Amino acid sequence: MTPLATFTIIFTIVILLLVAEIEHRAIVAMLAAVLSVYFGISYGLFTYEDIVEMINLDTVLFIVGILILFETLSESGFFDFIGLYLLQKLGSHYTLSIITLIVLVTLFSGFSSNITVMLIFGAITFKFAESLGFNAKETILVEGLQTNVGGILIPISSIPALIIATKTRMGFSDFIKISLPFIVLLTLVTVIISWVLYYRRDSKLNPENKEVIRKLIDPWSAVEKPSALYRSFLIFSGFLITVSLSSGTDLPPSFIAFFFVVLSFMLSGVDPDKVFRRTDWSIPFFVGGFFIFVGGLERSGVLDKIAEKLVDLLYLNPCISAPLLLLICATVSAFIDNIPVVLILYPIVNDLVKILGIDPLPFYWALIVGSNLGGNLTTFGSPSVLIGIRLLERRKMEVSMGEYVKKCYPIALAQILVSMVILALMTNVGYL
Amino acid sequence: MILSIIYTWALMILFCVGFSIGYYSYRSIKRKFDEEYGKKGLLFKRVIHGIVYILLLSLVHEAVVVRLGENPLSKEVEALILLFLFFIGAPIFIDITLSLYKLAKKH
Repeated sequence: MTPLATFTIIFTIVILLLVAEIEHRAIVAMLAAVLSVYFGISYGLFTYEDIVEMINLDTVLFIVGILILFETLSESGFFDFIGLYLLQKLGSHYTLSIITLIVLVTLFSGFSSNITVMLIFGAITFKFAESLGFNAKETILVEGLQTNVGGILIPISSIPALIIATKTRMGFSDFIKISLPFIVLLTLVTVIISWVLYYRRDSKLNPENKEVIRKLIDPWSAVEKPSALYRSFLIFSGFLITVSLSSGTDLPPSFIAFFFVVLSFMLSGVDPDKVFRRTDWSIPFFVGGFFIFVGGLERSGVLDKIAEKLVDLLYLNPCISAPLLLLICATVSAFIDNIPVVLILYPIVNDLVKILGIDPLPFYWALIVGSNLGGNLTTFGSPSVLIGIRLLERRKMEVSMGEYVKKCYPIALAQILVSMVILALMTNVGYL
Repeated sequence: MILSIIYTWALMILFCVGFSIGYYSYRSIKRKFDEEYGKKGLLFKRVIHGIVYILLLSLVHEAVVVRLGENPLSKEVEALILLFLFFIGAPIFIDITLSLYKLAKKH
C-alpha cells in the first residue's frame, strides 16, 4: 500500500467513528494519532522529533489553561449570580427577561464553555418559566442555538476560534472587530424570529406571577463565597486584558494562560480539586491527537487530494467562495465535531490561499463561523444543544428530531444565511 | 519426508490456532455488537462499526508488511498474518452483509 492509501484508510476510519459516534471523540483522536505516528515513521514521512512540532504544544497548553480558568470562574458562582441578578431585576418585564436570557447565554458562552452555560441557564430558565407560567421548551432550545453563536465572540470562546486565532496570530482586538457584527446581527435575528414564532403569544402573562419571580430569585444563593467570586472575576478580567495586549510581546499565549491559572489557584479561594475534577480533560487529548493525525494527512498527501476538490471553489470571487466555504463547513460540522472539521480544513485553506495569492481572512472567518453554527443543524451536532435536549427530557419534555427541525431550523438556517451575507458584504467592502 | 510431515503438521497447527483466534475474536466482537446494537434501529451503526473493523484489519496487515520489508521469511509471515486476519475478518464481513440485508428488508 502507498502512504496515501494507508492514510486515506485512517481518515475514513476516523470520519466513520466520528459520524456514527461509536467511540468517545478523544479515543478516536488518540487512535488516529497512534496510527499516524506508526505509519508516518514506518514510511519515513516524519521522525519522532517532528511529532513534538506537529502537536502544536502551545495551542494545546493554551486550551488547557483556558479550560481551567473557565471552570474557576464558573465554580465561583459568577455566571449563576449574574444571570439570577438580572432576572431578579427584570422579572416583571416578560419580553425584556426573555431577550436578556438569550443575550446573556450568547455573552456568557463567549467567556465559558457552552456546556457549563447551558447547564446554568437551563436551571435558571426552568425556574423562570415555572414562576411566570410559560413553556420552557422553546427557550431552552433557543439558548442551545445561541451558545454556538457565542462561540464566535472572542478568540477563546470556542476551540475552532481558538485554533485559528492562535495559528494565524490574530490579535484580540482584530478578532472582536470582526466578530461583533456577527454576534450582534445573529442575536438580533434569533430574538426576532423566536419572538415571532414563540414569545408573542405569551407576552400577556398573568400579572400576579410577575411579582412572584422577584421574591423567588435570590442571586446570592448561587454564591458559596462572595470573596471567591470577586477575586475570580478580577483575575479572569486581568487574563482577558493581558491576552488582548500580548500580541506585541514575545510571550506565548499558553504562558499567559498558565500564569493566570496559578494566580487564580493561589488567590481566588476556589477549591483547585473541584476545578480539576470539573475540567473537561478530553478536549486537550482530542486536539493534541488530532494535530498529529492532521500532520500525518498533510505529509502523506491526503490533504492535497481534498484541496484539489476545493481549489475550484477558491478560484471564484472571494465574495462568493468565502460564504460557500462557510456553508460547506457548517454542513460538515452538523454531522462531525467542529474541532476536527477546522483542524482538517484549516491547513488546506491556508495552503490554497497562499498558492492562489488571495487574502486568507474571509476564509478563516468562514471556518470559524461555519464550524460554530453548523452544530445547530442537528440534535447531536453541538454538545450544548444536546445538553438542552437532555435537560428537557429530564422534565418529561421530549424533543424528537422532527420537532427540533420544526422549532429550531427557522432560526438555525437564518443564522447561517445571515452569516453568509455578512461575510460576503464584509469581503466586498474590504472590511475583512 | 520427516521435514515434510513436520511442515504439514506446523501448517495444520497454525491453521487451527488461526481459526481459534479468529473465532473467539469474532465471538467477542459479536457479543459487543449485540449488547450495543441490539435494537433494530441501530443496525446502521452496527454496519459502520463492522466496516471500521475491516478497515482496521487491513491496517494491521499493512502495519506488519511495512515493518517486514524484504527478508527471506517475509512472504511466510505475511501469509500467516493474512490467514489470521481472514479468520477474524470473514465473520465480520458476514455480519455486515446480514445487517445490510436486515436493513434492506426493513425498508
